[in-house]
Amino acid sequence: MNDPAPIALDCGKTIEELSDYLNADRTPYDPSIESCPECLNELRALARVSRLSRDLIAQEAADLPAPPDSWMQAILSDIHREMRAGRDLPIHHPDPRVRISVTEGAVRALIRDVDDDIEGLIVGRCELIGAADRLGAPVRVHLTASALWGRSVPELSATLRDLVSAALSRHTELEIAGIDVTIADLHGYAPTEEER
Amino acid sequence: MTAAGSGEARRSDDLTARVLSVDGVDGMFPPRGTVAGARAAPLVTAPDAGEPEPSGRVDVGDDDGTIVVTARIATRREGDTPRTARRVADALLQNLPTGQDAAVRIHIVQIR
Repeated sequence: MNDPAPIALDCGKTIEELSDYLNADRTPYDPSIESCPECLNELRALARVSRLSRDLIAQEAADLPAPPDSWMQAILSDIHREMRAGRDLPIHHPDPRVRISVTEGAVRALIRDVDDDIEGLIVGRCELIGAADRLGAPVRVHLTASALWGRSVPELSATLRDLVSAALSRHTELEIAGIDVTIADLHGYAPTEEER
Repeated sequence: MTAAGSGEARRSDDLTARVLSVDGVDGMFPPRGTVAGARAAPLVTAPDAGEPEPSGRVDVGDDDGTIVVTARIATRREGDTPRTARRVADALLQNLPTGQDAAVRIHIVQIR
């Protein structure tokens, strides 16, 4: 969070450049961004956090406290750290002349997209642990997430695990040994006067 | 490794059209390292894709006598990415010249 070094993707674009581009409603059109999948994955994640921020501000108007900046920065930091293309995860083809792979960055973005379908949850860290670049090797998925105060953490965790499992089964050939979900914090909690 | 000459450019155009016509493909991206070339290039998208992608096309190259065909694609979230990618590979294999060593590389870089 306090790292002063600018975060850049493999293509050289910095998070600041992408944030500015998003804030300008992606105008003027920049083909060097729009033609880069890592940039597009990052833009999607930034747009999601931006939506979440607006939602929480709306909740604040309904007497829930706004999340501290540190909470939002922690989520953004996790997303930025994991937006690089990463490893190539293989997909089988019977013809030996063919090699197919899906980038780790694309898979992480896919996993993050899952939280769009779960109200009150946002995925922070997303790690594929194991030799994911080898067909058949067992891989564990480690996820951290933030849950909205008042929601059932076991239910949210189970829903996230199920949706991620379905997405990975549909879009990859990873041998998933397990999906570990940690709810790292809660947002939207309104402290009492005594707690303040 | 980038398509050079009108013959290879035509082959690249033909293969690009075939890739984009595969069910489940949502678009193509330029080969790595060709972003500058994307600036003046036309948009290339799947027929009913949502987001346009500039200059995504199949790269046709030669590696010591082996023709190497590379496609960087986006697939649809509602589809089945491994099945889509295998169909893309099959479409490319079927349209390569016979009697020459060939290799096909499919990179899925976005699922959306």
